[in-house]
Amino acid sequence: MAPRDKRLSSTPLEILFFLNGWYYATYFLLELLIFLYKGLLLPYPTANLVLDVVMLLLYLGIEVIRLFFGTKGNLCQRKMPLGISVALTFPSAMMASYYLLLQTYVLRLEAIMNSILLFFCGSELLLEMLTLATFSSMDRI
Amino acid sequence: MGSLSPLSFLWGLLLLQGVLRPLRGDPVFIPPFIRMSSPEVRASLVGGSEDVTVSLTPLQIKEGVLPVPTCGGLRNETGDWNLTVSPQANMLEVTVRWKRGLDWCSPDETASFSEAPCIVQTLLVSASHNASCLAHLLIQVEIYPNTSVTHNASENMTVIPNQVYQPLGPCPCDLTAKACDIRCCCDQDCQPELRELFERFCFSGVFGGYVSPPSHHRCAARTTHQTPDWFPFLCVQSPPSTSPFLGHFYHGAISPRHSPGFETHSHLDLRDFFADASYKQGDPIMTTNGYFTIPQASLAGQCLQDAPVAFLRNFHSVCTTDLEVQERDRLIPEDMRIRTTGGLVTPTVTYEEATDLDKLITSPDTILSAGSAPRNVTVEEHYVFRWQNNSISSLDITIIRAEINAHQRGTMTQRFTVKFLSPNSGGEKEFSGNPGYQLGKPVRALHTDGMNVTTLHLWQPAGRGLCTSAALRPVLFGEDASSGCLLEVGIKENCTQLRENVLQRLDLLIQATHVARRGNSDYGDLSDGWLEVIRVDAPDAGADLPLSSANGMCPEVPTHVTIRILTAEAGAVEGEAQREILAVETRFSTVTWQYQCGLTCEEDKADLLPLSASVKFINIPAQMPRPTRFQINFTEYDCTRNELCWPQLLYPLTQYYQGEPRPQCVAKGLMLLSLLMLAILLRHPWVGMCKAWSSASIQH
Repeated sequence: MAPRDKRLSSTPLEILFFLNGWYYATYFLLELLIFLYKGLLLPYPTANLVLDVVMLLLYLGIEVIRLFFGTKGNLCQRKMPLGISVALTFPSAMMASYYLLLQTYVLRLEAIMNSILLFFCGSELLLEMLTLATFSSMDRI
Repeated sequence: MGSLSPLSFLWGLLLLQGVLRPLRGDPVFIPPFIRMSSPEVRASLVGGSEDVTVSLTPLQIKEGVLPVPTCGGLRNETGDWNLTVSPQANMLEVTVRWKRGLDWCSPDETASFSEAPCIVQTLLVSASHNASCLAHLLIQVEIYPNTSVTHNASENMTVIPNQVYQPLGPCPCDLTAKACDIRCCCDQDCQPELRELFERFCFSGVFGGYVSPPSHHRCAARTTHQTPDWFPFLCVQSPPSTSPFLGHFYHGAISPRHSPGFETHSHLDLRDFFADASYKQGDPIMTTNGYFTIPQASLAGQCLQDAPVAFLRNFHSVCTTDLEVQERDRLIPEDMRIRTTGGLVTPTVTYEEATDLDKLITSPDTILSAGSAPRNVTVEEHYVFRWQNNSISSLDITIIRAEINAHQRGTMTQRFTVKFLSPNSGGEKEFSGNPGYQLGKPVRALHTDGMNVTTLHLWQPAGRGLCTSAALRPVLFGEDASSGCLLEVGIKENCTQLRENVLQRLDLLIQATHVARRGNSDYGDLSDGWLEVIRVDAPDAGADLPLSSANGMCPEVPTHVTIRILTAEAGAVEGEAQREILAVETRFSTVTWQYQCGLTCEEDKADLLPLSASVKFINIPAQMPRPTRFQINFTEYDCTRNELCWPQLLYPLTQYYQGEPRPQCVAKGLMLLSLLMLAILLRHPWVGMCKAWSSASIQH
């Protein structure tokens, strides 16, 4: 284990996880309302609407697991949870890209929100890689 | 008496044998000669018994002479042929088959060899019984390579896209190949400069190429009504290619759901209901009793008595009618009403009397006077329509009539003309097309002496066919024609007078020095596409010829004029080929003519000299030369002709590999790359680098 006097956790990464958690909760609720709006006003085929909503629920699951393991790995200074969080960042970015580009109807508000989510994913990925490097180097010594 | 009955019995027996003998005929092949173009052929041997032997012999043809057919050829010499004999009821079925099959007869890569037959042979099938020949079957073999069998895959790969996302006709308003359709913005043949002219008037909706329903929820939608405040944030900004209604034609059952919601702004299209009698070009003109009909020439050349008149289509028709047939029950022109926008139009009718019936009526009898039983016939009818926008403002009818006898027999020539004038066409001269010539329009010409407007002419004789009474009709573009008339020659005329008279007649047809190249060349400007008429072999009127001959023969009399007009297609406007004239040549032909007397040469008699004129249009095709067979394409890097395709090995960086859609190739490549990166990171390569670095520093 790491020596007692050394604190290796990354504070910027923890701040990003905290903000991302609250932001994603807001994003999820707003997306539900936006899908309601699109389903009522736009000529939305039912199959496309069901697909988009189901993928939103999957996105919620992926994001919750990613944030939990990231926070746990960072605070407990363990590499395995942080690695899982790094691996889950890619499907999360894929989901954000889908809602930004490949959705049936992309509103401008959705474009703005998904761009912010992609920014979160990129920043967290970079900081997680640095934190993993720090943990590995301290383990050897 | 007893001695006679055995003799009669013997005679009857002999007679019966004689009758029965012809019924047992020799065996024969049906058919006796076969031209073989497929690998298998069948024939029937009729009339043979069970012990007939059939054999096959390939014949060696020497210089086209068939050898004497011999029987009993050796079976070993059949070579590549297979002979099968199967007994049927009362006959034998003989089958000759090529042993090697179709693979032997495969065409080479060069196209020149595929035209030659690969098997040319002559086979002789013989039927024999006890070493005596009974029948022969001659088979001529000519088998060509079957290219449709060996070429399993076409070299021209037509990529048909997925119909759900890209219909095969993505541009429904693209109606003309290799030409820009006006107001069709999805037409790929339109140049950007040309598209700018009509970009604001594009066809909208599905038939304008927008297969997705138009949506006013898009950010780029140009809305005329007031948008709510939240529109900039909640407008749809995704491109139309992600529309769920792609392939609207393909699915068919999918229809947009326009459910009413709060603050929904939909366009209310105010449709203008125009009047029913609005005319477009080509529409039939309507009267209160139906179509407005005038006799017109059909495509087959005969006159249709009840052809509707089309709006803005001028025509000039000449119809020949039989005088014995009663005229049709036509409407009285005064009672006719033309239906148009804003009411009805009453035509103005003017009547004129025709003179000189000799020009109009061709009759086996003499033309009777109309004194005893008069009857009115219509000789000419001229209609002048004045139009404005989409309606007809007035109609002027001029009818030229004639009085003939009710019992007159023969045929009469009638003329009908229809002309459409607008207020803008005051004193302008008519075009024969804009800019190219239209078929059937007069060839435009002028004479430089005074710049007179004229055209080339042909005769239109009537009555007795004399030149003095023949009318002239213009040469129409694209229509080869020939006509003639008879010239009366007095016995006192000498040859010089005759030649001058004939030349004067022929020159009346070609009183032009220049011919317009295009249909809209300006008459006042000779440099605006006017071609000089080339006159060939205009003979002098008797300069080197004798005045008269002893026998009344006149050599070198020019009795025929040929007008040759070279035409070509000079481009296309909106897909319509524009034809123009390249050159015009007139040429005279001469004959030796002799005055023909009867038994005695009377002083007041006149002989007839036939004159003729012909027009021929010669089209010069504008075609690119076809590439010859000796041009070989470099196919080393052609992926469809080689088994190894080098660009495909760089998959997924290049797009040559088409086994999968390209997005899937990129996705799989990126997944592989991510797995590789993950594996590298999990091995902690930086630990080894640190050790190496620390060991290096220790050594120092």
